[in-house]
Amino acid sequence: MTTSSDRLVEISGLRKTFGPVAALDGLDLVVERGEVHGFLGPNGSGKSTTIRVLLGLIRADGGTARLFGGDPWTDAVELHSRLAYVPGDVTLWPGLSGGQCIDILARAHGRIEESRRADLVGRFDLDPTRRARDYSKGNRQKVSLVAALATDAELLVLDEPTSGLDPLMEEVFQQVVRERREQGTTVLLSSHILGEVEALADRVSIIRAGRTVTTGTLTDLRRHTHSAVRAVTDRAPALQGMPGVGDVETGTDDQGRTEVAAAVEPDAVGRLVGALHDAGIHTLTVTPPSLDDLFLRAYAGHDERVDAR
Amino acid sequence: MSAVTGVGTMTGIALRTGWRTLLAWVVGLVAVMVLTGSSISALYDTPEKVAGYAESLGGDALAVINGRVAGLDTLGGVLANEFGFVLSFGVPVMAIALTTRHTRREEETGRLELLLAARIGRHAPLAAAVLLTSTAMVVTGAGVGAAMVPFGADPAGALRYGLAVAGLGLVFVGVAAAAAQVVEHARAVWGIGLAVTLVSFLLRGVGALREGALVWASPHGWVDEVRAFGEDARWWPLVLPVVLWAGLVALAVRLRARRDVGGALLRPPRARPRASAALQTPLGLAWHQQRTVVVGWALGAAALMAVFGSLAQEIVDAVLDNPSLGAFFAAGPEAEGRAADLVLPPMMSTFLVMLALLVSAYVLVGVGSWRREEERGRLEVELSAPRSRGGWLGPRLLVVTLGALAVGAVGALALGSSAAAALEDGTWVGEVLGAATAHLPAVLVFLGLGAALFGWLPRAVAAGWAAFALAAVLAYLGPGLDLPSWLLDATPFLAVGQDVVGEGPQPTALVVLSVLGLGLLAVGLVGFRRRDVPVG
Repeated sequence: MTTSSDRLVEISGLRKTFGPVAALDGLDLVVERGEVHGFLGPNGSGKSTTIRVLLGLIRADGGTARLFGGDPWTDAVELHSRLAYVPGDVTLWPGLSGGQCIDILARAHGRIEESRRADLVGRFDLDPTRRARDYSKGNRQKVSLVAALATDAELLVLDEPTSGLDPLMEEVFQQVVRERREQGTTVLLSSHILGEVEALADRVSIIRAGRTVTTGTLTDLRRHTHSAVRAVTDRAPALQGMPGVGDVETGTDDQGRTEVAAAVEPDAVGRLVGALHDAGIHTLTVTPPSLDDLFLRAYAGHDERVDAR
Repeated sequence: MSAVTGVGTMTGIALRTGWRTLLAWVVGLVAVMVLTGSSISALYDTPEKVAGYAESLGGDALAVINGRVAGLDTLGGVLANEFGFVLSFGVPVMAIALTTRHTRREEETGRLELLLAARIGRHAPLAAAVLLTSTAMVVTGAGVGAAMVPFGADPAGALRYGLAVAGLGLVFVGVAAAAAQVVEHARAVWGIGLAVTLVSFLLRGVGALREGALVWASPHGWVDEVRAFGEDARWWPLVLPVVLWAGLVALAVRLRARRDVGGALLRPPRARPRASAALQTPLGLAWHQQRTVVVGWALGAAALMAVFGSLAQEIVDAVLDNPSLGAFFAAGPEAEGRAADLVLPPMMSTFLVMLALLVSAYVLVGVGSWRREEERGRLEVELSAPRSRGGWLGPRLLVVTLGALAVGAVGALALGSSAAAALEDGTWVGEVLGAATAHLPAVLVFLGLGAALFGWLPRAVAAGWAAFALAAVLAYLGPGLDLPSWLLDATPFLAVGQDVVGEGPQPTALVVLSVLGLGLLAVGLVGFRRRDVPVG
């Protein structure tokens, strides 16, 4: 059990409408101290709106939101000294250099850790003498990330921070976030890039249309999902009627061996592999469910209107 | 695929995305002429009254502002003269705005890159932009000319005048198109375009007053040299702007061929890698963002006012040379002194109204910069720091206020000291500076209006410009037109009196405007503390 002081973010039943559009429609979110929390949802599902409510930028119409146990709207100024924020689409100050932008952004949140700043500028391969108006989107994001990561904030709020980064820089980003988590920093990572969340997040909340669809650790979420098994065996394995195994397809390859594909629940993997072993295994792959599968499953299970959007 | 493949497509895209702005400019400028026409034709309804118009102007003095408009004894000439200020700035600004919008701004945002990847030739976007904006200028010129005819202007003269208006617009289409190749950002294109406008306007003003060849160095002067409504009207000066336009467009095409998409011939130098301690404070950052703007406006105001002031003696001479007015002052050694006493204060007051307009326009630019901070997401980022709404807006409000005071002070000082030098009378410095303060409450009203819009209706911040345009047109045209006096008294720049130098400001108006300005400011601050950020 966790106590409420370990909950840096505690949102329940949050509502916000913009004119006729309900951006948030009863959203729940809990971020615990020390975790990297993946906040997943497609574009327009309410991730940025949730973050803006948390930052006291916009006022919710209903439900409750607590940040460090305080009210994000009325206590905004005090609460903000404990966090650093990277928005999804950053424009920076066009006339200033990247280095100047880092100093201004980081200084606004508190002390800059000089050695960490220098280290991050190097690792993100950033030219701090170029003007922000001449940066690409990726470089602007690097500036914003370096500024947030160079502070000693307790909570990092990252809103789709890597959508402009190349794979190499994405890797650097993941390493840095892991380092910060080991130092005890809490991270709220909003994203629609599943691979990134899968690589970093301890827990995940999946939202759609302003509502939380599912939340839990990746292991929790996977517990209800099938792994994909593919195997080539000497003889046809006896899989018919085996509990926890479904979607069985068998065929024959050009050397007369049996090809098997099946979906298996986590509890039934041992049983299935035993049966395959008895049939004489040549090759075997067991693929755990990717976050994509979880995502699609969460969506398919909750709303038939997905296709209509 | 040739370099201009897809001109049609590009023109279509530009029209689809920009037709509202395009239409607003064309209709707006023609509407001013319609308003001027209906009012002037009512006011000057007999040939005798029209003939008396020139004398009511005080001789050639106004040539500094409007140029030497021919045929002031015809209704067409009167209309052209009344339209002079709109022509001088409205037409060039329209050309610069539309051309920049369809050239450098498209490149800056990266939209153009997307299109060039399709079947669009390298020169097609520039060709389409020039085609569209040039057409808009010609339509505007034709509209302005046509609008004069129903009010009784000579049709041939109206055609000449309309073409001259179009020609001035074409020149600035060319200027902006060429500038867009040289510099990398839309705001720099604007800077170049406005600087050329100001220089051309000043050259024409000085040339007109001195009756020298200087007018020929100015595209503004070419409009006058057509002498659209004069007895000696001529068509051939209409060729000049077309030739310059063609030359500038050709230059733009050549420059375009020598650079990459998104690139520019001039690149900014490397910047400092670290922010100074001052820049890391909210006030330092706010000042850093506004300083180029403030300096630019201050230089522009100083240049304009210095030229006006330095012509003070020539204005007095021009009044004395005017036969009817000269007789009024009688001959004798005191004539000049009396003429100066009578003519100069209202003249200086008129210049100060122009300065007040400039300062108010700067204020709206400043308020617009707050909205831009919000639109670009920087406001959101700054507010995610431990900083209150007031802690963000306060420093910015201070910077815009100080900036407005600086622009006003520099302009008034330039006017006062150059007039003092020309008239060899040092008292003018203090006189003008003191009188200039009368317009501070009017500027405050625009600051308050901008802040109130930003606080409550951030999407409508640009509406401040509509209020400004209305006040500017009333302030400039109002006294000459047959408008009800309550309307003029409700105009911020006229409420304090039309001759603040000679008669001093109206105390009641000063109080009312100040209270209104401060009230609006307070309302704006309350709104900004309560509202959502960002409002998209």
